[in-house]
Amino acid sequence: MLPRIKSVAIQLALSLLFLVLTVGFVFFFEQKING
Amino acid sequence: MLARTIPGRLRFLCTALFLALILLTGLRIAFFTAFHDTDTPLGSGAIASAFWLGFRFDLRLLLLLLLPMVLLWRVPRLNPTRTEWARRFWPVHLSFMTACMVLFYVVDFGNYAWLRERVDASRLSDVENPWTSLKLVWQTYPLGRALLGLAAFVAVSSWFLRKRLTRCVEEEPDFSAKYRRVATVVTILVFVCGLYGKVSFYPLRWSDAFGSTHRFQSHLALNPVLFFIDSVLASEDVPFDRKRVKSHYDEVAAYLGVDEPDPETLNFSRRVRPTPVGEYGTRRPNVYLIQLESFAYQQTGLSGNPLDASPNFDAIAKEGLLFTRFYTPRDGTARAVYATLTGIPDTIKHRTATRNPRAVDQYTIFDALSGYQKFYFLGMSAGWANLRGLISKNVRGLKLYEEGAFKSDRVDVWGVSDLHLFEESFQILQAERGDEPYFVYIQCSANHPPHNIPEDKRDFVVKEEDEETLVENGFDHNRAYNSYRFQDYALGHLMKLVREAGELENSIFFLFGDNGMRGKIRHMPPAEEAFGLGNYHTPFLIYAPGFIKEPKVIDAPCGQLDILPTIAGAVGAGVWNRTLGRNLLDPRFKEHFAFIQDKRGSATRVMLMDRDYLARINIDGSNGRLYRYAAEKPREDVSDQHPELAQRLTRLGLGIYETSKYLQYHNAPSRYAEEE
Repeated sequence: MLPRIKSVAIQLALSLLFLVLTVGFVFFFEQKING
Repeated sequence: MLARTIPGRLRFLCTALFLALILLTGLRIAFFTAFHDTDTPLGSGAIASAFWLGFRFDLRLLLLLLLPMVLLWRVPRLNPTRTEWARRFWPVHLSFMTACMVLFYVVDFGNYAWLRERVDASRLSDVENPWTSLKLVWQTYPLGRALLGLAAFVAVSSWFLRKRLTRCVEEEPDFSAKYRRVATVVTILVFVCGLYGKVSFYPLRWSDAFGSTHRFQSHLALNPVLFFIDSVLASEDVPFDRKRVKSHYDEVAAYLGVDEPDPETLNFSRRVRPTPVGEYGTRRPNVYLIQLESFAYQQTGLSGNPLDASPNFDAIAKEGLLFTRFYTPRDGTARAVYATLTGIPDTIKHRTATRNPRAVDQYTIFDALSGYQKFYFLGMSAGWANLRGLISKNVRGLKLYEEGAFKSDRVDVWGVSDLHLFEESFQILQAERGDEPYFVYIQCSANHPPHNIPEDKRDFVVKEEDEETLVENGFDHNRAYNSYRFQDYALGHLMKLVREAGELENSIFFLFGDNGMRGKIRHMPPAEEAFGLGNYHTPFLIYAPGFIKEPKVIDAPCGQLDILPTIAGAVGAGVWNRTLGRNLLDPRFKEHFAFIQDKRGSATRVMLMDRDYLARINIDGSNGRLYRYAAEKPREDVSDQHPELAQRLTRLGLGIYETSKYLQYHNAPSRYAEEE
């Protein structure tokens, strides 16, 4: 059970990290495209 | 069938994109159903147009969210065809991202139900008191149940997507390397087209949603996530300080001629007093407002420049009311359009106010002038600097003609040439006009680097001058010189067309430059070069041969803020003036001023000029100086000799600056509707 919780926690943490990076990327893109 | 033709990961990508598009379209339908206005319903064409635009915004957002994942698939550990872990992780990540997006939509819907506004950067102020805001939301909305619902959504969606991803990558046949390359190219093309979003020189931008004056149509078309991000990116301007506005209120209100001043409500509204320039009979004259590109005063022949670069303008200037000391509050085309339309100087430091979503909700005299058919012509795309939102959203019934509306070929990045812009605009005007008088704003844009002149230049003759003479007289090189001359030639062509159509006698032309040009300007007072005034100095001309019987040269300082109030006065319309411009023809204004916001290094400062003096002060109130405009040594500070004048001018300059920031937030037409 513990390894499974650990795995899900890692996935969510990594997902959060990617989400932050993705949002940063969207900001960057919108800044460039809006001139 | 698909399994045999499309690589597995691409198939999964299509599934995820398709489902997400359905979700976002569903949310748009929900938004429409919940909030559409039954009093002013949208036509089916407008609804379809809003949905189509919204679909393209949604597609862009989803592609942006998917792109990092697609790129990370290049990393072996994160590649779902290589590892079981990646096949588990990406579905969870996509579901989590979707849940966050849905949560944002929920907040946006709540905000709209409350304020009838989509969430923008102003909501960031709630984050300053996160616990209070959170408590408010918790107590108002069933947040607990919503979060549980979202968690369930993540679980179900992760399960479904994982099943789908596993199937996609496991069922994949052995495609050839060439086939895979083709698939990669197609994918890249889909991403590029979807992200660009538009068949135009400029990509899809938030202001495309504001192509209509119907508020709900614009709100329906927006993607709330992208709009929020765009508003955050544009909210770099310094916020206003009400106390400072109040402390300068008395002198600013007196300067503007506010009839009922009230420092508590900060009322700046007053009626423009009609000051017709001739006898109009029963029909008001047509109005041509022509914004010439980089039309520096010192480069005109009438300034004493010997290169004779503006013979057509000079000729008509002799028959009109010529303001020789017209200064733009900032340099730059987009700032000029903003200042002219709103009567507020664009105080935003790095970008422009037109790029700020607040620009779509501004009162303008252009809108308030009733009884006119209104047209706006520009030879390039109104997507540039997000001008479209400012122009289309704030002026009801306006017909905007831009890139794509003209038959002539574009010359370069600045669109069609000024000659073709004028010619085709006039043709469109003649075809579209009805019985009412018309008000047409023509924005030139071609007198810019690379200074191209079109192949079809009629009988325009390119001149060559030696470089030294050019530089001595304010032109960088022959291309710039001829480009300036060509704009003037195009203006002459327009005048010919108007005259031949018999429209000259019943029209009033208002001509001005969007900004001037730096450079050597030996024939001008030394203060112009010493304080960089050439950058802001353009002529302003009121030309109406059918009405103005006594031409005048007027050396009263003035600027773009004054244009629309002056037009309203000149056509005899007593409309509300609510911002910082004044009717230059109103005899009760004895003193005239030009306001300029200048920058030196990181310090922003304001300048205010009256007929004889120029006051300059940093925006923090430091380094106040007074200079004599006509002095041989203009940098000599004379504030000790005229302390009261120095104090009065610097205070008024700062007052206009502080008030302009305040008005950018307080000039929404809805605000005035409540007041009246």
